Amino acid sequence: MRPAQIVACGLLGLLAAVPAHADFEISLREGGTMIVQSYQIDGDKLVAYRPSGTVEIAFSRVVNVRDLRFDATAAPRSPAPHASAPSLPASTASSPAMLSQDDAGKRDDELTRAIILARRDLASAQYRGDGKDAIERRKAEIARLEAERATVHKVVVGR
Amino acid sequence: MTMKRGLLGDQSGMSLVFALLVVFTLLSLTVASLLATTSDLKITSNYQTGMQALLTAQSGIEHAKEAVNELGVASNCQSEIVANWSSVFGTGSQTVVGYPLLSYSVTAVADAVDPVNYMVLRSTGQAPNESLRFVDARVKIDVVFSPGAIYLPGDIVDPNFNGNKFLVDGHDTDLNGTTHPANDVPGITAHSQAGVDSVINQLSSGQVDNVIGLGGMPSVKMADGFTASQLLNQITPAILASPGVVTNPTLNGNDTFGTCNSSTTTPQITHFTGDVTVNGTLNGCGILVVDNSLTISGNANFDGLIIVKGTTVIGKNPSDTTVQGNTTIMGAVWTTDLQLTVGGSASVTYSSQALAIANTLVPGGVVKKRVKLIAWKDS
Repeated sequence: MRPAQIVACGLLGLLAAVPAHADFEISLREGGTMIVQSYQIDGDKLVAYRPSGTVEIAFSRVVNVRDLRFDATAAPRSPAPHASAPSLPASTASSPAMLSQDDAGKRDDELTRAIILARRDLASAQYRGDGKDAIERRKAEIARLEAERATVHKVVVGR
Repeated sequence: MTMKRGLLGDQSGMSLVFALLVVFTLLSLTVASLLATTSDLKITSNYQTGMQALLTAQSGIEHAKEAVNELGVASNCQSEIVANWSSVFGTGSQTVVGYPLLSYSVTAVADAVDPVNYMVLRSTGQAPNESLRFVDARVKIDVVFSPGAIYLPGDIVDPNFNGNKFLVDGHDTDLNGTTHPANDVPGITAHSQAGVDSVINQLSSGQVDNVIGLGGMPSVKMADGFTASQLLNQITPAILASPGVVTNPTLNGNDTFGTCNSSTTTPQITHFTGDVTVNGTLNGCGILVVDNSLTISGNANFDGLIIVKGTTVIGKNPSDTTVQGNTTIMGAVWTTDLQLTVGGSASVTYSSQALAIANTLVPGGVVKKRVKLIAWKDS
């Protein structure tokens, strides 16, 4: 193999290793935040990848994961609540139907936790008296998560 | 030739005298140094045991404060705690576990200025060398609390957790989402160790991270809180004797039992005398008392305290996706039996703010409060 081919293979390998997400803000229950390039959920841990290395955080400490790219293009939001629902990363597969049953089970759990936290976040927003747009956005997000969970659930139960 | 020496001219013996002087000087220095060393050792030892006694006394204060906070104070430090100190903490000396030579005893003394809202915990720490140190800590009634986000006061509990669609969170969270880590409690607490074991045994490995809060995952701990008998015979009757109780309201499918938001706080005590099943939408704030079982198959948001004398069921059959009960409870649930069979999603999040709102409904309060340290003196 020529050196150029080796370099090309290496570059391809690096590209393949680049995670699907980049630039996320992780809010911790203690009040701190952390900007990471990517992350993945591994059981009860959230593994965050930063240029300086990998950080493992107990998932129970995470109150929110915000996609900064999304925020940069989205309309201005009402003040973020302290404990808001985590916006889940998109499924790694292109379609829930392509998920294996194990992956679907994990995805189902992730979505369930996200729905629970989103509902709690919605209740807090309603208590605060957030604007109608903010409330509707949260309801739409819950509906989206529930729709995905319903699809994933079909894979889980083998239908 | 004979040489004649004078008395002073004869130096024989002087060397001996000087040698003796030097020896005595060295001996004196040695003795002095030994005495100083012994004295320093004694000072160090006394300082060490003094510190041990002080730290032991401080441990006593912490222990006593925890004992008080396990029980809580409803409204009067003097009548509830000081007068019953022998049963709250005990009057005898207690040994530090693993250090048999260190012991402490603590007494509670009525506060001279405000004996209702304050009291003084007086701790005596003892260590070797007859070291004694005293610490006085002035404590004050603070925020209301529940032993856990879900508290099971029965000695025997038989919980059941179906599916993975629930979250029991003991992190103290205001209704607007602000958290207060200092007031966190365990996710689930039981009055007996058998109850704790029963809860832990019922949680599968996939459900462990669904119960979070103080003390790791699963956050399930024992609490020396009120008993089932006290819940049924003292606390609940006190709540139901309060003014404004709404008994057996008709469920129309879209019901509101009290309202709490940032601009309006009108909580309500709602009492169901039998089984109740919520199929529609329920929003509530205040206190909900159910004499038998509570089943939520619809969507419910409730802020405050829920007391269920029977079984608590959220959702019905987890495999039946048509039952999508979504329940968000902020505050606490006290129940004698617990079955989390969740079809949609369910969360119980501890909120001392929601409990404080609920507590305003009962004259004199029914939810107990913690004490917090406000002043400290050692001697």
